[in-house]
Amino acid sequence: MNARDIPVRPDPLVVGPVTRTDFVRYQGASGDMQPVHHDEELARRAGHPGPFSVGMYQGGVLGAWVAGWFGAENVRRFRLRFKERVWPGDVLTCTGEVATWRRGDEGLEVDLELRCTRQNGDVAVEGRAMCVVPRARNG
Amino acid sequence: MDADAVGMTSPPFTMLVELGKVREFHRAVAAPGPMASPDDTPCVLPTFLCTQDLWHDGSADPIAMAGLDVSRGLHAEQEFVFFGPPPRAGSRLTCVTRIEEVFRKSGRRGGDMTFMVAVTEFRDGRGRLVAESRKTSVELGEGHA
Repeated sequence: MNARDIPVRPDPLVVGPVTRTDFVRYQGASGDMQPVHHDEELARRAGHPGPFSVGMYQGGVLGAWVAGWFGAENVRRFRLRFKERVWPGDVLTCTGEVATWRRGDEGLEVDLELRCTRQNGDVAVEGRAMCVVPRARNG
Repeated sequence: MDADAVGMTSPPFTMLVELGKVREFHRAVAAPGPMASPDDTPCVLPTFLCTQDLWHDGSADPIAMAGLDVSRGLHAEQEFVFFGPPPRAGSRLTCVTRIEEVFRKSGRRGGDMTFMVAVTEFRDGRGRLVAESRKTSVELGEGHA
């Protein structure tokens, strides 16, 4: 990878409409089996309209998108703030851009600002990341 | 939540970064790009280390350690820091979780919120710190919707 080949603002990733199956698959993969994310009756008893996604599902989608952008081996810091819930039927869009960059120990250090939004524009997750473009290959 | 929880440390536990779990996780987060093939040793995705919870018996669950009421609990923030390339499939990591911080804030809609920051350190076979996970949980006080 060469620094000049890395887009400053890559094409967004659109995922969905997301389903309860997607939530359950993520729960099984991660080990977080909180029932409010799949058990209809329990979710309603707790005052929710139904099961909603685990925040780390949409956080994980955003992280995977960043890994596709810079390469998983180049991610050094990834931070998520959970804002709005995600519901079955939502269409998620991951967007982000390069905020700043500087020379660092490993090469170029690039700070990213990231968002995962719902179809109505609500920000479900806000993210920040720092990725490196290793010196030997940053042209 | 128990404010005296600050400084509590879990027993160490071992986590294996297994290729099958790496592939399962890849699919679960709709990751773009091809799945790792059987001979690959890919670096994990940025949030993969949350699967640490499959490797302890509950004694490293910060919510249980601090006595947080899960029915009023929310995951507010999560951060992963890698001190080099993220661990690869095939790695064996030693993990320890500690409660780093507990603090209170007044909510926008009234009622107190108690925040807890739990940090998990991941070390390789030589004891080198390779990654850190920082999880911020919130317990909503009475009076929250």
